[in-house]
Amino acid sequence: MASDTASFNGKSIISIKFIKDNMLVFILFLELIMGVILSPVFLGKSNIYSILINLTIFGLLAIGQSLVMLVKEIDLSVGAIMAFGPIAAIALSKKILAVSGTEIIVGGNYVVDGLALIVVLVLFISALIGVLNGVIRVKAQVPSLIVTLGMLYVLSGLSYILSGGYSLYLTNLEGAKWLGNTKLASIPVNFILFLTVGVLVILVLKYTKVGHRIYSTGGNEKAAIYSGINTKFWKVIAFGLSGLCAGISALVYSSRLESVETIQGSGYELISIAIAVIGGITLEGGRGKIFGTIIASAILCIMLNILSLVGLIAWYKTIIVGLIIIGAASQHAFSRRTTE
Amino acid sequence: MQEPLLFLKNIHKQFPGVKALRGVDLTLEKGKIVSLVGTNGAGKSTLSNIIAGIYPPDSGEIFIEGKSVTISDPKVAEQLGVGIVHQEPTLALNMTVVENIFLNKELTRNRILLDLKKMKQESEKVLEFLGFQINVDKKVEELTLVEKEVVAIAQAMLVKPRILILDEVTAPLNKGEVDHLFKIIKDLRNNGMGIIFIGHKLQEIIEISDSIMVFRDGKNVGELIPSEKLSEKEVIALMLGVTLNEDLEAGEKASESEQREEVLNLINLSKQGLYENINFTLYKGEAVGFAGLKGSGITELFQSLQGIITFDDGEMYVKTRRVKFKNPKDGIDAGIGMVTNDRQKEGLALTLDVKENISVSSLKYLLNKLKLIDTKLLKDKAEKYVQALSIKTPSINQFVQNLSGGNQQKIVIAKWLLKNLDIILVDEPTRGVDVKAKNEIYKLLLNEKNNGKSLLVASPEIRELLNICDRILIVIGGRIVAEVHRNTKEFNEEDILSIIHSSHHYNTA
Amino acid sequence: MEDMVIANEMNKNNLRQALLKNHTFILFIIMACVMIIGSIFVPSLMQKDNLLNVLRLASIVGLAAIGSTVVLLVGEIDLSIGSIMSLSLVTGGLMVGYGSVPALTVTCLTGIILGIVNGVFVTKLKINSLMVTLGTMSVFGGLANVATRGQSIFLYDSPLYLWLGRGYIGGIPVPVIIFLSVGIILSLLLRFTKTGKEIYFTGANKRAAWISGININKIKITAYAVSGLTAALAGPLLSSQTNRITPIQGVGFELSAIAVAVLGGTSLSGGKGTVIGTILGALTFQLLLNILTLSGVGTYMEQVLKGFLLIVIVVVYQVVDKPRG
Repeated sequence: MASDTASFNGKSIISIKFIKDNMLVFILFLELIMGVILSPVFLGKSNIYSILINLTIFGLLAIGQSLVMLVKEIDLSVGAIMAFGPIAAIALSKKILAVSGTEIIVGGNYVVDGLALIVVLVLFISALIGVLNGVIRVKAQVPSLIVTLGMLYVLSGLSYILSGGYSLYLTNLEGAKWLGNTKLASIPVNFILFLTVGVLVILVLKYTKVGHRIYSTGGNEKAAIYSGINTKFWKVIAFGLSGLCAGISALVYSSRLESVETIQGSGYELISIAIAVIGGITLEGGRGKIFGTIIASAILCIMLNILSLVGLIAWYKTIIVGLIIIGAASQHAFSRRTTE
Repeated sequence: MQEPLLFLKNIHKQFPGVKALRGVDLTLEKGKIVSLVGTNGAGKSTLSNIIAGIYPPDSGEIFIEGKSVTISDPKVAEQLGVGIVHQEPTLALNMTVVENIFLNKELTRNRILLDLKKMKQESEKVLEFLGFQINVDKKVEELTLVEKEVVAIAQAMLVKPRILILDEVTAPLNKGEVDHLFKIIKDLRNNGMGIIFIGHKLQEIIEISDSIMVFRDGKNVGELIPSEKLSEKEVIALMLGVTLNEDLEAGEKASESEQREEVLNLINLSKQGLYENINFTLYKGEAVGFAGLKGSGITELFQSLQGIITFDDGEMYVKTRRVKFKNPKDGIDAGIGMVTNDRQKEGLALTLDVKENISVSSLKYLLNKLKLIDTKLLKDKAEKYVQALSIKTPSINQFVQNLSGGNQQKIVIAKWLLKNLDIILVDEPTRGVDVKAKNEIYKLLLNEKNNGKSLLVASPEIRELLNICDRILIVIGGRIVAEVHRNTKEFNEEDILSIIHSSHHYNTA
Repeated sequence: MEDMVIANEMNKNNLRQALLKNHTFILFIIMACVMIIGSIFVPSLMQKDNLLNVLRLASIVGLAAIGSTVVLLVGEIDLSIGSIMSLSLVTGGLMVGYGSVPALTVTCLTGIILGIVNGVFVTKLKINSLMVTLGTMSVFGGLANVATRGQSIFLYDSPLYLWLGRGYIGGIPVPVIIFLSVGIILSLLLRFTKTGKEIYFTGANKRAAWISGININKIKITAYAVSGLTAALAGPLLSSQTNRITPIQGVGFELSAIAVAVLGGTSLSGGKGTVIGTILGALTFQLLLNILTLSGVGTYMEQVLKGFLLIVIVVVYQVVDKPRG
């Protein structure tokens, strides 16, 4: 009899812990239910696709941001990379291919050729900028907030200079719309890409040394150094991956819209930080999981979607996003204090 | 003849302002346990950090099995077969036990994928070998102090080192746990491992060592071979040097005034896990010393008295008024201030100048009629204390970070003197301070005592307490276990040290 | 006698050392070089109208940067400056029918209140200030839009607003006078009040400040209130440049404000920096942008330079701050 009570108590404790550990999933679930109740079109095909494309774009940025925050840094340049990556890649491709006599831009701003080279260069340039952020951070010992803020200015200025402020259209570029507009078995390829990246990062963090390096660098840099870990190197890697994620996100964005805008991605750095924080990544470093970031991306995107569906204008959305950031951050701060 | 496992020759190491090691030689044979003993700051931890590759020596040579080696970083040390457990465990609290044990030594399958299963098994095996059952998937921050220590030991043991350095590993352990650990250490020795053991409890040291290296002021001053006859007192005598009691006369005789005014009274003051049932009374113009090892709870007791932390139970009276401070300001307002043991983190704003640091707590009294800072008055006051305490600084506008440790410490004291507090709590007043400045700080504290201030002084250097204090309370495991008055015959370094270093008092946790 | 000479010599050496390590001095030299080189290559730089224009624009971003400086001095950060600017402008703008003075009063009060809200969140919820102000940036910015339904409020009937941004007193633009007055007053307050001293100490070492008896929560809230106020003051000066209040007027200002403060030698880690430095920072910043505009490099190059300058100057400061040996 006594043992029965004990086991019953044990069970109830487990279930509270279970809810606590899976809070984000529960919130997501609740949100889905609310969406269904509040709007008849919520489960409509086109609505779901529109959620998924946003989820991919923001989610990719947030994964990169999370990696940087895990090593106790911050990256304000991800949004600017989203514009600069493609713009610089196209400009560079134009120069490179002009040597072999191929003109890839016609009619002023229609890109017509060189897709493969452009894609490779977008990824390369984006990652390179991330690495540059990291190198300045660790070599010159300048706080990452300043480095990446400076980089934000530099990149957005360069984007304007290179593009002259005009959009580049990809409508006549064969294959360009594939990533953002195609579906495989009625699942958008960009969403598959996002999940692939997400799962890959989760697996790499869990099943290779990389995860241990990143978590120890952010969690207790001294312990990491005492174990012989080159924490500076891993910080640079985290910044590089963040740049790379921003590059992938830019590919999805531009492919979806079939254009490259000079201002694309502006302000997204803050959204990426918001998502990471909602997902449980903290500025103190070394805490939180990429799985949380992915769920948080979904939470944010679905919420924004529901808010539009119920007819709330964009301004209310920003207010609600702001409150969520404060709420999530204080929740984490509070739960950490109580466990200590 | 076989080459020794580890041989250090004439190792020197200097840190800004401190000569930590001044020509140390050490030989460690296979299958031996060498203990390093010495007072705090004698250079034991510096030496072990050099062997572990945390930082390089300034000069000197290291030989492992006769081969000259350069241990440039911790990974190299590991490859050479050196394992170390640091004095304060350096663990990543955000990670699990198994992740910490295998930090930077992860096992992989086909070089890429981590072998989680094997790492878990190996961790459990190491912990089991050490005699502990810890859930290896738990995060380290959820572990107890003892468990953390054990994880740190497991981390060092994992690579099956040929040379194992244990830097004060027994501090948080209880008697049973220490006995068990010693059994393991002896087994390891019998299997041919060379072990360097650093500790404070001399009984333990004598029990476990094959030889005892005594350190003093950055040098090894002698080697003792434990035997039935070797007593703790002999070790202590060597630790202190022949100059025992030499500078005692610097201390003034206790000023026993006729009427003794109570300024502070503690009744059964307790804080869970840190100290318990502290009872004592402090009188005006009295200096009371607190002697004990690191982690004995003295620092936390002092912090409670200014309100930096709060006590759980018991009563505290300041001049017969019952108080319980919620924050440090409450303590200061009641006339109590603490000179913390970490002046750079807790006492000073290093990037500000001397006058700003001295005046920070007293700005209220330095205002003119317009409620603005009276800069002239502030300067005068700052200059007065710079002179009175003979703080060596080019001017009161010098940034504090450019001053030496001793002068920085004086500034923290000056801050409380300007505030005109009645009770000053001093935790390790001369940590990282050179000899000359040490003497000046003693004099300074004595002078304040004679001016009617009351002092509580904590220090690992007993000599310091003997110089300043009228009586000394000895604290072990958060309890006051003995009290020694100036006019009793136990009022000497040897007797007090043997109480502190005796193994009879273990944590009861 | 000889001692005095030696002492004198030592003082000179110390002075030289100190100057070389003084961020404000370094910045002053940089600014002087910029002016000299600029005036050689771009003669129109030194024309009176142009210089007044530089000063006017520097004043607006400079005002916001002063608030940012105070928050950085206590070791925190304020990303909501731009949104505070927008929201306080809007609340005042809604009152503009009652006259300019009540409207401006409401603007200032809103700024202070929003600053206090930030401060309370940072101290009571104990959340990282970057997160708090990132959140309030969104919230305040959203509220500004909601309050006006995204519309602009025109100021053609409010001569006081227009005068604040474009008027002159004795040939000096009004924004410059406001900027310098606020700068000088705050500079003096930081130097000569208990709170001012405590702001520096708190920023330099929070724990030591707390142990020394400083009410660090009060100090932080004060710093945020100042930041809110200066952001609110900068708003009307900006609005009158375009004759209207818009709910997105302050967007992006927080980053410029932080950049200018850092340029002026304020450290992100707290306790280090001066308002005078920030004033110089604002002037240098605007001067450079102006030279670029005049030399026809194009406005977008300004962005690039802004970022580049920020990183380079902070690296320079980092190098001179490195302890010797």
